[in-house]
Amino acid sequence: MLKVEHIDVHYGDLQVLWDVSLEVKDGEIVALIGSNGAGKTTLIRTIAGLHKPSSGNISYNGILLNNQSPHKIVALGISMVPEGRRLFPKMTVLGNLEMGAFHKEARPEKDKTLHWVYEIFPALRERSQQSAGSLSGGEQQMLAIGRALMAKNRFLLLDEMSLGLSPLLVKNIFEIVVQINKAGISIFIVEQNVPMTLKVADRAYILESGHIVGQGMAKALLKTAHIREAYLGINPV
Amino acid sequence: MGQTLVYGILNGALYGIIALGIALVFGVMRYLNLAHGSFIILGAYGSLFLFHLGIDPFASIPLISILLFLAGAVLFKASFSRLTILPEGNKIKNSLLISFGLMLLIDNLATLIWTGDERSITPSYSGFTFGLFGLRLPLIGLMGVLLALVLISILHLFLTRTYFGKSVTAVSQDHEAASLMGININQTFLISFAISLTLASIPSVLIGLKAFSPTAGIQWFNKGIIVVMLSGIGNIYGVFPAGLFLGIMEAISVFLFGAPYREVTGLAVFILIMILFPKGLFGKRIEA
Repeated sequence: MLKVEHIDVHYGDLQVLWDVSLEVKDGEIVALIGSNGAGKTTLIRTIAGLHKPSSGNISYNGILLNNQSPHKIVALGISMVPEGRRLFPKMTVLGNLEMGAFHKEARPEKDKTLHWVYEIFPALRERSQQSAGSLSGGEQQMLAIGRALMAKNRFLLLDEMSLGLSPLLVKNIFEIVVQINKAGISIFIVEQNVPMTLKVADRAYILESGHIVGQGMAKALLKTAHIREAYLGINPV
Repeated sequence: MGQTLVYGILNGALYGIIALGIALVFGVMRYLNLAHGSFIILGAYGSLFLFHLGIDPFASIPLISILLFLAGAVLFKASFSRLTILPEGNKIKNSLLISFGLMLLIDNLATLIWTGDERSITPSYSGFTFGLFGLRLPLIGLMGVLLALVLISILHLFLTRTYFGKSVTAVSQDHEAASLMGININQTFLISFAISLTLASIPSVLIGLKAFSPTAGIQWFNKGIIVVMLSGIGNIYGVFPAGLFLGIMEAISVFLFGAPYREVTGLAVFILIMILFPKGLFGKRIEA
């Protein structure tokens, strides 16, 4: 279980997150929604170890993550698909996937995991020798997710994975997220595509200007007036 | 003319190996190590010391390599490691400042210890040459080319066949993404830096066999950085051919205009190429 308790995050003097708390239980898909600049990406990057909270605690299965470096957090069982995919553009598709299995526990099982990732994303098998930079946007996102899965971790952080993809591809990717979750991987997802995210998530938190302003079951949130107005553009009748 | 080309190629191979060490650190971490040449000179003094103990300069390469590797690791931990989290532009500036200081320190310490006199390692085979098709091929120069080729092959195998080597490539393309793969980027930086100084051991001995003084490092660094730019930043495999290119250009200029204009021609060619191909000669092809 991932627990974020009362964290504040600063960029220099500028405070971005205020007293944020949330949790993701084993096997859940939990979403964090909110508008541009609300601090969603900062929060997910803080969990991955790319920023340090100035106060509060982040723990995974009881182990404190606050001051761990990103590579330690991967070894502790959490993988992240970063915003903008961040592939190694000059390496091949296979090379990128191999890098995903870099940490010690994942490496011996590399071939088995690779087989599983190719089953989820058959397109990656066909393009395995192509350079990652030559893939289409959708394929790049698949590779970014596949690369994170190669770490054999039970917890996946997904940051803005629908950005820049066509509606059809977005639908595909969300179906795959559900499929990955069914394989026993807990998922914390940060998204601007609110309707799609709330359809697949179990629970969701709403982040506005660095504060958590609401939470609840995803299906129920879809029906609340605040969400319908602010994120779905539907006026209450 | 043929003889000129031979000397150009032999010098160029030396430039190529010097540049390889600089390119590795610059390509992977965006650090510019101005003191690289000073370490080459330190290695040359080391080799000279061992020569006086009766050890052949070429046989001293492994020991010099190990010492430079350790020096690199310690130095990185002590000074450069703080820069790893900075944005790219600041990394270049700060690494320039640190390494400039280091260069002054090393050069002046070397002057204190060994005086400013020019030294040279002089084994019995110093001036030995082979004759081939009427050309004279100096033994030491040929050894240099051979060692350079061996070194590049080893580095290539390391970067493409080992998991750690591949992680070096990943870090050079996106170090934050690499850290999300579970790669310890500080460790990767440290080892890359140490390997870069290890690569200085061969130029150490080759320059030791020519002539060197405590402050000669920066001249060799200049050759190295010109070759890195000629090759195209981030492209390790272009470095050796670019080194040969500079060596041959210099040799041709010696042939045409005489030795005093060698450096000038080298720089003029460099500027011309930067104007015509801003990405370097091999900037777009095989990159590592």
